[in-house]
Amino acid sequence: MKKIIILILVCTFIPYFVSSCKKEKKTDNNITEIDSDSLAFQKKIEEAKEIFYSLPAPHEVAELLTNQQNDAYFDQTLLNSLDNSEKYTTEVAKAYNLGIYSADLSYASLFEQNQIVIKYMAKNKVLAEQLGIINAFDDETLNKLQDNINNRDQIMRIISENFMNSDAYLQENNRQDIGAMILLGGWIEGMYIAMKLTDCTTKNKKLVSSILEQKLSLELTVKFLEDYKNYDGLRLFYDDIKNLYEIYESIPTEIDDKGLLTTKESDFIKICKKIEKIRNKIVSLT
Amino acid sequence: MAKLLSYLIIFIFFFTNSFGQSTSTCKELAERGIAILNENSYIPDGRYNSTLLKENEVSQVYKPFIKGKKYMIVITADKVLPGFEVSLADMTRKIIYNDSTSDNKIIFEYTPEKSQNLIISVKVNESEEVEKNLRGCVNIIIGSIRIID
Repeated sequence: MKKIIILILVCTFIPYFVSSCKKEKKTDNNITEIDSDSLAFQKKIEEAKEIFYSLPAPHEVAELLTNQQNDAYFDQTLLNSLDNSEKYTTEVAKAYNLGIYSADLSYASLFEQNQIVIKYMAKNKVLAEQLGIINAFDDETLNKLQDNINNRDQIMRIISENFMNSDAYLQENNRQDIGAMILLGGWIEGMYIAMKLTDCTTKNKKLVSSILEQKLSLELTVKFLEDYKNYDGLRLFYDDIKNLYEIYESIPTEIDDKGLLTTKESDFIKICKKIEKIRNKIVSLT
Repeated sequence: MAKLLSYLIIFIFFFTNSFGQSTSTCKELAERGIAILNENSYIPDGRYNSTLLKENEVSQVYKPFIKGKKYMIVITADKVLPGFEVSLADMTRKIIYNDSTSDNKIIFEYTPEKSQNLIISVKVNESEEVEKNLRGCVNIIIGSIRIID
């Protein structure tokens, strides 16, 4: 009988000890394209239980301004004024404009505008709390930002982790719609700032290329909004976003000898005007 | 002795079940993923792609991958799950990369040759050793670093 007991114990507990001691698995960088021999798996991925459209977080959109040394600069007049925040009384207005302010915050951070960062961080904290996002922007985060104000990568890391915490909180509380509105607001603001920095011309080739490349995010945004059209707050901008995607789709682009996406200025202006229209609609929400 | 054995079996039943359900929360798994990205100097994208799956179920992330950046993808799963299979595919479902594990973690890096939307799919393995309806958290965390300046 003792042997049986020992056997049961060994069989039961060994797997836990083994699994807790397993090593991290990390594959190599060089990924080669492989033939799709896993047909069963391929079929299975058509039937996903859960799909996440990884729309770029506001800090990721703002980052396109500093990519590839594209001569972007800081212009405070492009930010949504903090004075406007008082008029955002509905949940929808607060969510979209939290996204707008988050992108403004990231833009200011990337250009080391310390005082503006702190002011926008404080406003983001208020809006997030009003939306029920607990501990989204705590004092510790604010202090970490101040301590790393001259370290661009560290700032991006802090903002990113902070955003993920809010995203997690909203998902775990079934408020994905609020999270999506924040993302959409942030994406539009990032695009708006980028557009304004080009003066709606195609002279700044690197920035123009980054803006044209955002068609990829837009494609996913349209797919996402199609799935979430039942939410009033998201339906509000569905037609605008779809129309913006149609404009992108209608514009011929080429890749130049430096690998940058280019288009005719007259076509670029169409994108520019549409982005500005959507952005102004968001900041005018009440 | 028979009484002792029955107590022992009851104890083991509750111990294994409670252990199985509570090894880690989704948030903890995400934080582990973030820590791995940070250790490798990647900046997390700030998105929380976490869901509860049981065997044979799939979770997907659609994401734009931009040329000029290098990506690290960290997939962590609850230990109660019998491992998983991961694939990276383009929008036509052509698989660029895949891997599987009976462990609870896969990390891989990817440098896109062109900017495009890609789909990361994670399917929980089938196993006769695991209770059919047992769900565990699966987390997909993505980070990037710029490689062109």
